[in-house]
Amino acid sequence: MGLIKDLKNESRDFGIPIWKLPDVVLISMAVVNILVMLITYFLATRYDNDPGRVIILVAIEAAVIIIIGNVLSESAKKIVETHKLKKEFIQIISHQMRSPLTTMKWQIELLRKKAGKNLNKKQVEQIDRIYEENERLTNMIADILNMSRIDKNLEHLIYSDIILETVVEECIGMLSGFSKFKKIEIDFKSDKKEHRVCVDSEKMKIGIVNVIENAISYSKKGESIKISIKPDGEFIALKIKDRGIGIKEGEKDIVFNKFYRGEGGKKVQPEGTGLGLFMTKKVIEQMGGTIELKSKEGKGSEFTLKFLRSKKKQ
Amino acid sequence: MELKRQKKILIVEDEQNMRESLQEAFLDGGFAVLTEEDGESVIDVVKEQEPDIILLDIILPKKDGFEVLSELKSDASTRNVPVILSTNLSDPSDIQKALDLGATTYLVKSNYSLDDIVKKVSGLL
Repeated sequence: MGLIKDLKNESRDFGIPIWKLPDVVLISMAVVNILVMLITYFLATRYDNDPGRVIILVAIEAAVIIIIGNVLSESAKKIVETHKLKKEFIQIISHQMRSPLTTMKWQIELLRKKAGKNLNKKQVEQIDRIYEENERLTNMIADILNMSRIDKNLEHLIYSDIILETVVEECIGMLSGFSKFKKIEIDFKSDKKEHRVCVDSEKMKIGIVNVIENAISYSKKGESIKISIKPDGEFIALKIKDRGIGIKEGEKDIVFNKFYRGEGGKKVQPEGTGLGLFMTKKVIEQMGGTIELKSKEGKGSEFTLKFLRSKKKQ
Repeated sequence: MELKRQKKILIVEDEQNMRESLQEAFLDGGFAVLTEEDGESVIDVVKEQEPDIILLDIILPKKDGFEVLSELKSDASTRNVPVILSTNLSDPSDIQKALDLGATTYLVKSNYSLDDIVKKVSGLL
């Protein structure tokens, strides 16, 4: 039993099915080999009485299967190796690259706060720019990490009943620096104080932050964004509406594809990763929700994110 | 009017630049600040100096944050000191592990400005 559990863990860690693990490939090939040898022996002794020929036949078959088995298990080993490397690489990005970026962020913050009074407007602006760029790099790393995690499996979802309003407030707070910088007002309304949903709140935040961040990115300076929450059948719907550049008719479905970036979006924000909406859709759907998009080029976009209502009485 | 007692925070962080940034921010925020650069003597420092709250990094030399946390939580004299685990890992299983071990909360460093960290800590006291 312990062995099966180990294999299950290994399969989950590397994100590949159990039957593709090298050990499993090797064992299954051995079983196949024994079966084929028995069948051949059985058939051969029935139709051919020369024991010499039977032995040679069985031996040839066994050899062929052993060779095939080795080739298969070698390639399975390579797959596991690749997955291991990928995992280590992600660990390295996660820790080793984020730490210096975090220190830079904090040092810039202290510099801005303390030296700010002695600097002229231009210099303050320059510090702000360094800060923004640092944030962008940090977010890109977070995107890559989140994607690798989301791509890997669904098992790590930690569900809890949470108040959607609180999470949305938190997400708006996380983006407050960016919205202030772009002078964008976020108008958040809910028809009731609290709507409870059953979700993995950390993953949900990734999605909500992405959509609001896009809304800010693709709005002109000084515009406003409307966010509202209301119940919709078994769901609670979160609507995020901007008056930004909008999305072309033909692009509405493919904006959710991995690495896809809208034509209009590329002009405004040339450096995006094209992962935001892909991840958002994936996490929301993992949690049993949906994401819909209405948009008019030049007029703005409206994203509706639906989350399953909590089963507890509201 | 009685003066509010100054709160004392213990910051356990191995990276010097990060530690000093945090130290500066908390000093500015009116805290008394103790620092440690590895996990080894955290428990002794906590017993001796009785901080009001601990900001504990997960990846540390000698003894990692999880070990330190379980040590703190298994000793009656240190059990009640709130611990915030700070990390840049943000792996859900690590976060779950931290909370299971009794951390009050956790924060992913790269998501927070110093201001927000000071606010978060003050909010817990």
